[in-house]
Amino acid sequence: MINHLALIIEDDQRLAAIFAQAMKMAEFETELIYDGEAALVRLAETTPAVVVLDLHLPHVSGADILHQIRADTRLAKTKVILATADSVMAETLHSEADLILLKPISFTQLRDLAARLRPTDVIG
Amino acid sequence: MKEIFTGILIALGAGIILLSARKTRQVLSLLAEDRYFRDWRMLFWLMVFFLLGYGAALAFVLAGSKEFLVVLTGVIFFFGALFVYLVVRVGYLTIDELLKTTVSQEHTHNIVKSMLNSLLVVAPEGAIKTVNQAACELLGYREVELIGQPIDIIFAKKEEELFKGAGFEELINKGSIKNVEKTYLSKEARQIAVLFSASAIYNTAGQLKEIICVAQDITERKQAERTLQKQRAEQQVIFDTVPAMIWYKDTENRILRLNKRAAKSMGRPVAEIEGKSVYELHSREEAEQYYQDDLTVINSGEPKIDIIEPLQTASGEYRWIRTDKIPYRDQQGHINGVVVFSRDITERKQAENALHESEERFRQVITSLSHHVYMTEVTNEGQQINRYISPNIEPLTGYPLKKFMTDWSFWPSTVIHPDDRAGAATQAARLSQGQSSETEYRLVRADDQIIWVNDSGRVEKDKARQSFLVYGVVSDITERKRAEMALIMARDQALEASRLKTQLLANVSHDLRTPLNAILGYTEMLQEGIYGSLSEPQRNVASEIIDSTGQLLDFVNNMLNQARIKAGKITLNITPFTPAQLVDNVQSTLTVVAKAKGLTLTSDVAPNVPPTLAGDSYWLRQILINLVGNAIKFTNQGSIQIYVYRYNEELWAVQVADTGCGIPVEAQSYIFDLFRQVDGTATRGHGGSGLGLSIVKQLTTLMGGQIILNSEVGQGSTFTILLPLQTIPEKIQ
Repeated sequence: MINHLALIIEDDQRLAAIFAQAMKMAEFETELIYDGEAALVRLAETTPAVVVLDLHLPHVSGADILHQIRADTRLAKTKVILATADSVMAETLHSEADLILLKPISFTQLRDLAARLRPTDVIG
Repeated sequence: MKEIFTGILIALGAGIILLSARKTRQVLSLLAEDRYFRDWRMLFWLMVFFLLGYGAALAFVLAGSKEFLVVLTGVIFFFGALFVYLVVRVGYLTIDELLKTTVSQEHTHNIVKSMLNSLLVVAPEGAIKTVNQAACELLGYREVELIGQPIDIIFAKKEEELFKGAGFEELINKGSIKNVEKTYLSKEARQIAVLFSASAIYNTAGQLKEIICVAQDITERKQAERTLQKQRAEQQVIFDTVPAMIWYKDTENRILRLNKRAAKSMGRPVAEIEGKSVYELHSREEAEQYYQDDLTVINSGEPKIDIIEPLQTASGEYRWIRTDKIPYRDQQGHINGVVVFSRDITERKQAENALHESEERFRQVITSLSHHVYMTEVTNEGQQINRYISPNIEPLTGYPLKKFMTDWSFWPSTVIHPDDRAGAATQAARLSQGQSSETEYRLVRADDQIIWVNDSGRVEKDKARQSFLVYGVVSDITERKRAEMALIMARDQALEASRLKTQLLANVSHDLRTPLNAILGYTEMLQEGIYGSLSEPQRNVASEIIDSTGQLLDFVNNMLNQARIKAGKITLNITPFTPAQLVDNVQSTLTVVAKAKGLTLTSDVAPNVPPTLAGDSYWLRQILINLVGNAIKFTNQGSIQIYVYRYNEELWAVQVADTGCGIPVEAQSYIFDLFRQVDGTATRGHGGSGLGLSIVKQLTTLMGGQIILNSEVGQGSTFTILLPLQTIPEKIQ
């Protein structure tokens, strides 16, 4: 079964909603997490296809979460879209992220890019 | 009779033969010289012989022997002739006289013979009659060689000869000449200086009987005189050439002797001065002054030395003279006068004065400096000796100069701030090793005030002493230090302020982006009809919202970038990137905005551009975003094209062309300046901060590139950025 789960980790609920809408329109199942700690807990349980990750998060930073994802072989196939307003920080994480989008992120742009990241349906 | 005549002839012939022989003459002369023959007895015996001979002859004649008669007559006449010769030769005239004088004459003869002075008795016609032993020794003749010779043979010089010389007349007239210097000529032709006296002796008849010549050998005296003269001359030369003026004065202020230099200083020849009183030569006042000094010396018997006074020379010029006055004592120790020894020290005095002046100037310079100057000697053994400490150390430290002069360690152990002593000691160690050194440290003044000083020491090797000399300047740098600290503080504050500003901008940026993202996102969702389809006016409103959001976003981005560029925070991070991807990214980011204005945004990458290039893609993207954003802003209809191509071997072109309003030529030069736009109305009409192109320009410059602008009003604008990007070798790709 093909996993179409997109994990939206974003403390701003409105942005989380917009990102989720864009992901849905790119035919992902979405799950919203507003807290870094909660995100780590959830990532330990599930293997999402895409993570839309904000950097400025309560409790655990987005950078730490990214490092964890990259350190976890289980999550090797998980694509990470960094969605941040901090261009400098984003630069430093350039090599670890699959895609960096600087806020404000266009709804349509995210939708179109996410669509490209969507795993091709292969009947298993 | 015939026999008698023959006897006389024989006697005469024998006499002539005998007398003609030199030897015979000498023998006879000796006989005549012999005392025995010279007194009356000789004559008596001669007479006796003659009478005996004559008597015998007479007897023989009477006896009738003729041969005998002949011999006898010869003998008799021979002796008779001898007698006559002796009488004539010796010159004894009368028996009476002989009888009168023989006794005293013998006595005189003995005296004369033994006289030390040479004596010659000369006959009136000039033949030597008598000489004494001294004369023979002096002249080197034997007595017999001189007797009978003309007196003039003993004179070396023709003009000095007794008879032919000029003195003869005087002798005849006056009866004597006394103590005339003449030169005798010895047998060996040696010249002998003599002091010559002569007396003319007259007989009772008043006729010149003989001349007695007495001569004293004065060769040695002459020699001594010459030696003395030579010594005198030498002394005079020394006296005159010694580089000093010398006077010898008596106790009455008379100049007895002086050398040429001294005379020259008085402007007169030596002869005019010697023997004169100083009162005749100088003004009364000066003469008194000189005399006073003399009297001090005469009365005390102590020399007075180093009298330094100006002296007016004969030329009227004043010279500095250093004089020593030394009492002159005779052999008994009485002071007979004063020796004045003066030297012209004008040049030395002038040099001294110049030195004094120079020293005074130096001292004034040193004192007028606010710096303290010192000179320290570091001996071979490493010992430090204070050779000079300028008085400025007093105002600098508040301690008296004496304190530093007497205690070398006072400065390092008390005046230098305790926390800085180690540093100062390091400098001192360097200096003592012969290395010039400069350091800064604090001093604790006498009033506990703390000041900063700079201590700069220059080392010079003193070859003569085999030690180092440290020339140092200590300057008060408290003010400078304060200013420096203020500056450091100001800099730190400025850096902190700058950091805070950057932080603030970053925060503002972040905090603005989040709500902007929400506005943009929701509006787009509205446009996309997620919340139901929109009417035409609603869609326009949504476009306006997106457009305004874009402007606000541009502004925020550029503010932040400008702040980063200004803070010098940008360092280029050259990494491989894909030009196509970069262009794509920019296009997809700005298409929304372009679409909202009804513009088309296209992009193209020329085939000669490799898939990967090396550069800072982040700032390249920023350049492109700004150029495209600008193009969208100033284009109301038409299209915007992004084109990347290879410009030449080294340069790559990133070109953004629009179909907008264009830029007037006069504005093309300044549109890249910060906060400048084409005109005020354009700002209002198009929005924007005036930062975009300035940032493009600054980033391009930072990357070593250049901007080419082609634009014409109404014909659109083309911005071409030429960048020296690096290609990446195939292998790495």
